[in-house]
Amino acid sequence: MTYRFETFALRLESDAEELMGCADQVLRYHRFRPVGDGASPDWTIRLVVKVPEEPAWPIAFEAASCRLRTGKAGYWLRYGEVAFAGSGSEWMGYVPAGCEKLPDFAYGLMLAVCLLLRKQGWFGLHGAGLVYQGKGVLLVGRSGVGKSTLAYSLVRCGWHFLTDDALMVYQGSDGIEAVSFRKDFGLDAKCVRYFPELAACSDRQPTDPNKRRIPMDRLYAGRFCARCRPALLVFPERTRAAQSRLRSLRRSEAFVRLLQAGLMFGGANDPAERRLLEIMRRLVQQAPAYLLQLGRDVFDRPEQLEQLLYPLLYPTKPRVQPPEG
Amino acid sequence: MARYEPDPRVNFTRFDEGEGVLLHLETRSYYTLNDTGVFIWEQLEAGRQTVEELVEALVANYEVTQEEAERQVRAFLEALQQEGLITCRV
Repeated sequence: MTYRFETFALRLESDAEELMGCADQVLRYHRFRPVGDGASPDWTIRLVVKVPEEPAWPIAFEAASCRLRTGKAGYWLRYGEVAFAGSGSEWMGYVPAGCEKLPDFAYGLMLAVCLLLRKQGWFGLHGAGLVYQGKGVLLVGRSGVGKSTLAYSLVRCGWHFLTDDALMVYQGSDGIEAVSFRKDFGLDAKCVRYFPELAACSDRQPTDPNKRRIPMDRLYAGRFCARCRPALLVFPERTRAAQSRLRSLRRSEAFVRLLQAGLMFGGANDPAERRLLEIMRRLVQQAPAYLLQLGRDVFDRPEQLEQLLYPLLYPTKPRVQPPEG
Repeated sequence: MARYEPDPRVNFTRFDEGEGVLLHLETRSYYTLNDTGVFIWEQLEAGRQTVEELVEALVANYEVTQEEAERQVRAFLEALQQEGLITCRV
């Protein structure tokens, strides 16, 4: 089966029906649409039921359950029990029996896809993407800071959305563009307290079964935007304060925060890594950045966030003063 | 005479306001530079790699005494060396 994401086509092959079915769910969840077998693929991933054998290649990147090795034969990426290996357009996926339903498989498959996309100049970023009257706003930060809750509260106020957590950024013809890499939101069950309509959403997120999968098309039909040109960067940070505050960030500060939220895999010899840094530099040149120190107010009164962000998107013009003193 | 060179694994990103960020692509350690730091880093990249050359460039371009320039250059180079962002050849 071949899938299309934006302009890219990925062919998925496997003799294992169940494995293929799980991969299909994960890819659809990340906006890959099946287009049959006729389209010419940019990449092919062949999935096999097999325990991966780790090569003794140098480690290019390692964090938690993820390890990336690079060698003469290309890349070897392990996530938990599963691994993906390949170079150029031909890749293999090694999935031990029974692991296809684990979040490890979903994460591993999408990390492998991210590696393929980064070669094309598309880079993953942990962030929510929203659009207000045509202006793109990215909420960027680590997991657990509240990006999804904040993004959902803005959608409830009428904003359009790209995603609550998974973005791709690349150099477009008119500056840096952000693209949705996942449409449905993933929210903690506790959010029902703020958003009662979510009580009816019982499906789990494939990549994080602790979160509920929120069918955004069903709840907010017509609000999805596949892409935006970011006009504002907001970095939320939790505090114990009652009231939320915004602080303007210098570009160098915003750049460092973007690096912490970006998917950086490569080492010094990987040209894609320097390309990613240039994309991040252009992004902070393009969009002013703010630190949002979150108080209890935005969670107790979700509409508060819109009131905070509005003046950043539409700064008031200075009043005209009489020309002479 | 000690010569200081940027580590080739370090990426330098410069911003319009005169600030910059150094990122070591292997260790992921980073260092934010102010306008003076950017100036010294660019001198290093341009081949002025001794303390004397850097102090001379700083004095020629900034309102600073020779002594203060030398103190600042030495402290800056030491910090960069500790972060593994430059190498020193004696």
